[in-house]
Amino acid sequence: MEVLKARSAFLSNYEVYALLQEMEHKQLEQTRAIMATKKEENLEDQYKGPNYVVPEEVAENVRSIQVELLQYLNSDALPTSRQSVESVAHLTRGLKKYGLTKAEKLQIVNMCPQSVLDLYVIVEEVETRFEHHLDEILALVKEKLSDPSNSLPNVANDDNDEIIGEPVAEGEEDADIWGGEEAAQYLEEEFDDGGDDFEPALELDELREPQD
Amino acid sequence: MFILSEIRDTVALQPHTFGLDAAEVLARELNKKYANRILQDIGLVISVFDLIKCSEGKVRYGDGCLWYKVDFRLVVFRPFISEILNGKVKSQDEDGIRVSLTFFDEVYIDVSQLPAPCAYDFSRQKFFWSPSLEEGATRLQLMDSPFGERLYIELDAPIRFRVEGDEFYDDEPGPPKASEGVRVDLTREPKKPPYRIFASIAGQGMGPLEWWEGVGGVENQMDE
Repeated sequence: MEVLKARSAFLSNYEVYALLQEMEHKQLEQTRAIMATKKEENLEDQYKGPNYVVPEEVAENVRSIQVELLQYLNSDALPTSRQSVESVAHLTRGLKKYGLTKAEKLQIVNMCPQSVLDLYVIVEEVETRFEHHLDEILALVKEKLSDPSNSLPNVANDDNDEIIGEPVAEGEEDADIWGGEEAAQYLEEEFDDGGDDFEPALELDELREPQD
Repeated sequence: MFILSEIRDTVALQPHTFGLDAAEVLARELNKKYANRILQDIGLVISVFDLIKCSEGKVRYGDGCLWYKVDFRLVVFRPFISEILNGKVKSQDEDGIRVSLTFFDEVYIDVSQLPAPCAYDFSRQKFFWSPSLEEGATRLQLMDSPFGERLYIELDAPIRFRVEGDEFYDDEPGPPKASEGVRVDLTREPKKPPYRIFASIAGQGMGPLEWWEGVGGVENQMDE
């Protein structure tokens, strides 16, 4: 093993959440295929041909981190399960004009602060820096977040399939959203402060210093 | 909270997988190797994010596997310093509090990182914070304070903390030296986890979420 870049980019919680859900969809499909073949084998124990591959089951370590992390991200304390691609993109675009640091923006996206206090915890000296914009920022955060009382996200609004327990059929679409170039673009959109170079490996002091 | 790390590794694919999509099988093999493992100085690996590039598969003398050199990106849990995270209180003793994130349990809050003034109540085995007392209050004063004014940190309570630092520890013993022979170490040292996070809950808005519920107009509080 060789480490090329220890930190090549930051990821928001939602991106990790979407990735894990996509993985889970795929695994579910595979498990179904395995069950089906097992059934068949019980019925007639016959030769499947030279190219037949017995599907492999998901490794235990993969499964356990996946389940535990999804459980964490699905908890009520975090807004991740109520976010969508659209809401995250909207929020990051909206936050651009306030001159927040990358780390602060990332945290706002991850935590979705609901009150001034929440914002105060995340953003340093929020009172003096954003005196007149506090309510604006909070409103922006709430704007596209689906309602917590409504356990299912608004399907009409976001066309991605973040509905927990929804059948696998829509997995394809999910893959499109996160596949290839689009994913990279999305990352850039999220953390780039306008420069062309996407250089997300932040130094620690850079994180602490508000860039004005 | 999460970062991407670029890693290069060599992967062998077994002959029975030759009929399948190579990229998919490579990702699966990499997941099997890295997921839920801690890489020194990198963090806790969640899963493979994508493959960047991959060499032609080569057959080596001696086995029937196809060997690929792959560059790929991993999703890694490695919160940055001063990041705010939510977790649950896993346990507490007089030395501090341990917090769990469900998928990661090695988050420690030292006594010095608790909001002042606070003390450990041995009879309840919990820490409490007395916001009504002054910061320099002695332990005696704290223990004398009425129960109604104490804010206890309950077990399993959702808690918000700030990351103050982290530490990696490589548990790998080196190769045994011939001069020493094989030594059996009877003095068992407490095992150190390979990756630990040190956190703090001192400050406004930090600590158990219920402490701050309903505190909406914080302006006057923050002036203190």
